[in-house]
Amino acid sequence: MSHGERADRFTADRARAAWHDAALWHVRERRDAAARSVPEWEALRDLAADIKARTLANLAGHLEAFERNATSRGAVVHWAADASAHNRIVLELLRARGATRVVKSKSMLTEECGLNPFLERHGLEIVDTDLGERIVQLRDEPPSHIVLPAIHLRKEEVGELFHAHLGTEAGLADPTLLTAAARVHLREKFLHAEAGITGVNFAIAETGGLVICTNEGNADLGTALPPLHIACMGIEKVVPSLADLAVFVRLLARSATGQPITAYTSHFHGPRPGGELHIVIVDNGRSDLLGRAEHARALACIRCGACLNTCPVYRRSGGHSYEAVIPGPIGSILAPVRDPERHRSLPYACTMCGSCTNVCPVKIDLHDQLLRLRTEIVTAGHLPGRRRASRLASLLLRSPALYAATGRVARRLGRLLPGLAKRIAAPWTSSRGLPDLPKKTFREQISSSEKDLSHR
Amino acid sequence: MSDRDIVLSRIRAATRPVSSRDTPSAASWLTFDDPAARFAEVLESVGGRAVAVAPAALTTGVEQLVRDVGADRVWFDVAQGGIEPPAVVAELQLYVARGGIAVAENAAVWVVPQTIRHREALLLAEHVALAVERRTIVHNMHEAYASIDAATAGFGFFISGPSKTADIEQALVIGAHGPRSLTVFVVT
Ligand code: SF4
Repeated sequence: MSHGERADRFTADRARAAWHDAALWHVRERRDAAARSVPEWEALRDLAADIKARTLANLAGHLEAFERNATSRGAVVHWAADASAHNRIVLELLRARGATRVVKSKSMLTEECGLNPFLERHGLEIVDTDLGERIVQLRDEPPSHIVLPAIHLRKEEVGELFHAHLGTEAGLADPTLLTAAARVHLREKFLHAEAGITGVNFAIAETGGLVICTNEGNADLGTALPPLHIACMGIEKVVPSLADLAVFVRLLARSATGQPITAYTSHFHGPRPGGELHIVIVDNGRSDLLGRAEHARALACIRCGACLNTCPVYRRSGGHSYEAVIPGPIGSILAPVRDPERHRSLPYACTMCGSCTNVCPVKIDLHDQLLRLRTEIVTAGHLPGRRRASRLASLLLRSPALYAATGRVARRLGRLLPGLAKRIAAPWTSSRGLPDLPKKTFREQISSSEKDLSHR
Repeated sequence: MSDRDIVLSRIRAATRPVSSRDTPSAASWLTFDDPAARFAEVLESVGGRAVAVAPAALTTGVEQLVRDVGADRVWFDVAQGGIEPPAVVAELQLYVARGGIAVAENAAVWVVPQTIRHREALLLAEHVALAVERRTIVHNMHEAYASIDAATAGFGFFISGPSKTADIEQALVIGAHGPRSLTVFVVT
């Protein structure tokens, strides 16, 4: 199924689609206000892009430094070449300590690796503690946004879900009361957890430290209470120093939600006294991306979600229509680079408006990459129809006579059989009309006005 | 080969040197005429409250807060011998702690919990109050990271306002998992 077909399912509920669009646009406006409050915003973006480029140019060196420094502070560093190695490492760590109740804070990496279903298959209880993540976990569906996991749901649906799972009153749909119910439910989970798993926003090579940003405080509770903390990070999360970190901390929350900083920005250097800190560094295809000159810059992504919020297609089609771990513009690069056959429709969902590139705090050339991906997908033969179509188009465009003749036939057909024209333009006319076709082509209009002029 | 060697060698094989580019020169960072005023303003906007007090008035300020939130289970950031289990900590109504530096641009307060118990109390208590010294307020995060020693702290966090979520229909709810209110006493 293509992105367009899946988007149809989302847009079938017009009220929901309109709400989704407006809610995310509002987040984009808050981001704009936050960016404007920092006069040096553009210089910060330049600096962030530069730090990322320089870090990626010596990624192995920075990771080795990080490992050395983290180890000297008492953390244990593990390496995983792929998702299954990552899952195995986490399972073994939990098993060795007899931990069966696990709390987890938001991490797109563990989502990518399928950690939850894997641990559940092995009989462990794993509870996502970010409210939005808990909601989608209870619904047994993936997050539809990387920062706002349950943005595709209305409060009534959350009410029904909590009624079924947490025993809230039937019909209760007040966000404050529902959040309070989730707080009570998750407090229990925190207090009885035997291990906490977290993602990582930034890893600092120079100090061996980890930084995690949350608004709810769930990563902090999940690591302050249980004795075992497992932090899972992709190889691209490392930044050289604390001075570099300052640049990203200033950009992240402002770009994500328009907040000046998240409520909690936690710095872990080594395990807490009496506890254990294990860090799992995961490749899972990232080194392939690094080797793709045209797309390596996508590794700079700090997962702020700004490109999703601003994207006219994401806002109107919803995150699930991408059927990828990460939706939106950045996901439309990451997924097809990894599996072009399966995700070939994603770069075509783009309107090339360039809004994503304009908001990205680390200045990834998002829409340029999407355009290049189209070429790559067609060249690799993943869209045979498109290849034939562009051959045909190039034939037509090379011969002015053929072009003119085709145009005449098409216009005549369009006037005689408007139904046919509509059917051909179907995806474009489902929510807008087709303009009437002019009687004369542009060239005919020009030549007749030239005649008029010469008569005068 | 271990996964470590595999990953590192794959990265090395994939790495290209950066084409020489000019490192953007450090811009002049955002500063404020009155950082303490900006701190209070931003804290308000993220759901917290700043209270300016003279050193001698701190105790009365805290006592007032205790009355305001109607707390009878209150802890202060001084060693209180004995470590209670988390279930007891979770019953706390108010926790008052000492903050490190504070940041004007985003109302963040650097907090390094002295003990584990204090770390969880900062998150489990119903209400949290932090005391910072006015003269330690810096303008922006660049200054902040230059003046704290995050690495030797072991664990430390910037706290900006109470815990919050907007995960249900983007409706802002204060007090997600952590405290429902955050008061910062700015001691002059
Ligand atoms: S690509 Fe840029 S804008 Fe999109 S999530 Fe990543 S950092 Fe944010």
